[in-house]
Amino acid sequence: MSANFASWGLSFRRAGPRDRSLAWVLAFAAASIAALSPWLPVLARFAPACPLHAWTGVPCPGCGTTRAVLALVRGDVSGALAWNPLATLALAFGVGAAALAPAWVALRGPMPVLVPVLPARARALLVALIALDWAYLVMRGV
Amino acid sequence: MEDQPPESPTPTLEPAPGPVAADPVIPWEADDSPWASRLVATIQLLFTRPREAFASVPLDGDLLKPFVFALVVGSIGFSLNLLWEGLVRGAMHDLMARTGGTPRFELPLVAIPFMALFSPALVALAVVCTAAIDHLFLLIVGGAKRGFGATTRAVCYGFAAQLLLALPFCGGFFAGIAGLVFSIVGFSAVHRISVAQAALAVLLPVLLCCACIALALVTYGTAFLGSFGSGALMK
Repeated sequence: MSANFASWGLSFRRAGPRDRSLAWVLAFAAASIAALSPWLPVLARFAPACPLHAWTGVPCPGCGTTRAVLALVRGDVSGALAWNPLATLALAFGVGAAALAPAWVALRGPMPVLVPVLPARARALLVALIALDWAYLVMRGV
Repeated sequence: MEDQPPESPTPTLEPAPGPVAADPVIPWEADDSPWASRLVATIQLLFTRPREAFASVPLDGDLLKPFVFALVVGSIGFSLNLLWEGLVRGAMHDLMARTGGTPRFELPLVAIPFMALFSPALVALAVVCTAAIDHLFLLIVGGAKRGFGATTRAVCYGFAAQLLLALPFCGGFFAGIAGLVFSIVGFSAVHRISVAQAALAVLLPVLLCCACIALALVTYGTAFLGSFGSGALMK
C-alpha cells in the first residue's frame, strides 16, 4: 500500500510538535468559515465577477465556486457538486481536515508528506482533474 | 631532572572562536524590538527589497508569526478600503448618475464597521485558500520544494500588498499588481526555485485560460473559414 503511495510521491510520517502551528492556522481558517457562514450570502455579492466569463462567456476553472460554497452552507451538497464538483470536494475535505487538524496533531496521526518534485504522473493527474472539472463547467454552461 | 624549554604555542590556521554570523531573519520574527517597530521594518523591507525579505523568512519557525502578520496587515488594508468606500460613496453615486452607470451592490453604511470587525476572519480564509491554490500550481510546475508551510509563509508576508488597498480609487489595482510580484518573488525565494518557475506557477491559471480561448478561437475560426469553402454560408 505504502509503495503505491510512494510511486505517486506521497509518504506519511507521524505528526509532531513542528506541525502544531500549521494545524492551528488551519483550524483558525475553519473557525472563520463557521463564523462567517451566516453572512456569506451577503459577502458573496461583493465577489468580483469572473473576467474570463464576462469577456468570453466561457467559465474559468474556478467558476461556480462561490455558488457551490453558498449551496454547501445551506446544506445542499448535490447542488454544490453541480456548481463545481472539484471545488466542492476540495472545500469539503479541506474544511473538515482543517477543523480536525489540532486534534490530529495532538494524537500524532499520520501526516502526508509530498516529495519535493512530484512524479510526472502525479502532476498529470492533477492537471487531468482540473481539466475534467473545467470541461464539465463548460459543457454545463456554469 | 633535565630542563625543557617551555612549549611555544604552535601557530594555527583556525580562526579564533567568536560569535557566529547568523542568517538574517525577517524583522517580524526577530524578537529584539517592540512589535510595532518590527511590523514597520518588515513592511519597509518587503516593499523596498522583497527578494531579501523573503529570503530571510525562517522556514522552520513558528507559522503563527507570519500568520499574525498577515492578519494585521490584511485587516488594516481591508478596513481602510471599507472606510474609503463609505467616504467616497456620495461621489461615486454622482459619477454613476452622470455616466448612466448602475451602482453595484453596496453594503449599508452602518454595516461597514461591522464588516471591519470580520476582516481578520476574511483574511484568515483568504490566506489559507490562496496558499492552497498557489501550492497546487507550484506542485504542477514542480516548484513546491519546501512544502505547504513554506508556501503559506510566503503568502502571509505577501499580504503586505493588501496595505495598498488604503489608496483611494486605485488601491485594488495596485494591491493586485503588488500581490502578484510578492507571490512570484516570495515563492522563488522560499522554495529556492527560479523566478520564471515561480511566475509560471502564479500565472498558470491565467495562461491556461488564455490558451483555451486561443484554442477555441482557432477552432471556431477554422470552422468559420471552412464554411466559406463548402458554401455552407450561402445556403
